[in-house]
Amino acid sequence: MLSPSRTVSSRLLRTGSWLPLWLGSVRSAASSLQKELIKKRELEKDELRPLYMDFQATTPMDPRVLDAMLPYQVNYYGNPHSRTHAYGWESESAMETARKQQVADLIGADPREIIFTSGATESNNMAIKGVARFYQAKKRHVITTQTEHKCVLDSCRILESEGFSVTYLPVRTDGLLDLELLEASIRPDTSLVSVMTVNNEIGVKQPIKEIGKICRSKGVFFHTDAAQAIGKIPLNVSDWKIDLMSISGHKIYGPKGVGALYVRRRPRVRLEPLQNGGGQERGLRSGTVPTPLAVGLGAACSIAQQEMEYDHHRVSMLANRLVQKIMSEIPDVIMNGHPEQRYPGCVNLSFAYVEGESLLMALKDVALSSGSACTSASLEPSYVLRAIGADEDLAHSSIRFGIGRFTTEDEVDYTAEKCIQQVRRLREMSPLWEMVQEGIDLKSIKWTQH
Amino acid sequence: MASSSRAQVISLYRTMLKESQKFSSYNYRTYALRRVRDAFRANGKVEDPVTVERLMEEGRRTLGVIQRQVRHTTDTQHTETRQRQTHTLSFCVVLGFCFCQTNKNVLKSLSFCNFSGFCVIFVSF
Repeated sequence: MLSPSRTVSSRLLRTGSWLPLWLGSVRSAASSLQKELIKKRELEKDELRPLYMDFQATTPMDPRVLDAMLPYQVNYYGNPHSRTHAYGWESESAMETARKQQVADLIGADPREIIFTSGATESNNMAIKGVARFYQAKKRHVITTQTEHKCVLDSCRILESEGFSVTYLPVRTDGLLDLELLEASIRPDTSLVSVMTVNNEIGVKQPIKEIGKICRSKGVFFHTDAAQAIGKIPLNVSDWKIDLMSISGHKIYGPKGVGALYVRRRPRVRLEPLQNGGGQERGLRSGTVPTPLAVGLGAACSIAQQEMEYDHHRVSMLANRLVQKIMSEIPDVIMNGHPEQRYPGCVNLSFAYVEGESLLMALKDVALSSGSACTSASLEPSYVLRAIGADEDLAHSSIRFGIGRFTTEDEVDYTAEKCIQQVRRLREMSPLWEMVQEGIDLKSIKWTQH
Repeated sequence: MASSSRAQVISLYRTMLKESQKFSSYNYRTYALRRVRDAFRANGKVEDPVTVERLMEEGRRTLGVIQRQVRHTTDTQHTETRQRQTHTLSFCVVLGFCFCQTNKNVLKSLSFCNFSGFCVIFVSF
């Protein structure tokens, strides 16, 4: 890149000895100018942002969603609960369109059954704590699985401290729930079963239809966290006999800070509200509904419904490409979770004899994650991988590749090549790999003296 | 209303591709180009004029979305840096001319460079 300023400042520096002293400041100012420009150039180089391959953590907003939201941020800013003027009426109409034609339509629900919340975490909290507390007089048991999202597990922990009994069902090694075990665990005093549709770490799709049938036959409410599933796989709350469902905006190319909860009306599910106030959202979630966010969620849902087939086909193709490329070039790579009963866009691979964190750092120009975003701060391996029975060392070396609507073939190819290159490099440095190459069985080694 | 002719459809396709090229974000740009191309290809065999008209209407609406969002999703941070750089650059080019007269009166050119030096500093900060 040209820098005539360098010539300028060097010229100034050379003639500097001829200048009187008070002009010495010009010389130092010129060299600091030079430094500034060099720093800017270096920053620009680092501004090449990494490839985004973490679509389970969050997704970029679709431009069509942003286009739908902007008028409600700027011009149509009324409170949708204001009954007396046009600002309120137009906001309310937009909110109701989002509720009815978009969100409800995507899941086959009635618009009166959709409650807007601040996200899937709030929806999960509302569903679990709300239902359990409402029916606590007669029913004191809740069932969930060990691979649920942290907000579900934490809500259940709070319920335990309130005196409820909670069963955390184990899952098989392929990540799926054992239906006989579920049926056996349901007691006469069970009020709620909570199983997530698609797992955010390993991408496994639970047999929701069968679970719904079991719960309906036993008269137990069925809640599912569909944050990762909605808009990606076809869902119908009536066919699948779902009573409560959590929806997240920012996982389906919508805005962050909004979600929804589906609460069935026939047969009626009663909830104790978590947030009390003016009685908005049928009294279940008081507070002004953020119109632009609700409109954004609605737009995201309607776009997802239109694009579901195209996106699914494309994401499957890209995921296959990634997995085939990696697995054909390097040995000892394991895909966690059931190979067929899964959402293709979430690929969790364990690379044996390679440490996960070091691989992530080596792949620094690709944005990836090992495990979920909410657990990435701790050093422990993911509890989901532990629940599916992965070995401790394999759990430490797992990486989650997220593929979405905006991923390109070039990005997938680059990620695969970089991954192969770095895994080979890290394995070269690994003494464990050396031992394996020599034919030593690592499990037979006594690491400590007893 | 008469159904859109083949020429109109192709013209809309070309315009959409041209506008999609303007996205500054790599992911949005590649998605828009790919989606427009695939959508037109998938609907290429449609004969019924009512459906064609409906699809064209949808296409025109999407064109509007693309045009608006190209403006809104431009990365402002990077544009600023580039603008400041071009400022300094143009000024330095001007200064460069001033220095071409070094063979002549050295003192005269020195006084020039003092003045210009100050100007460079003031403009870039």
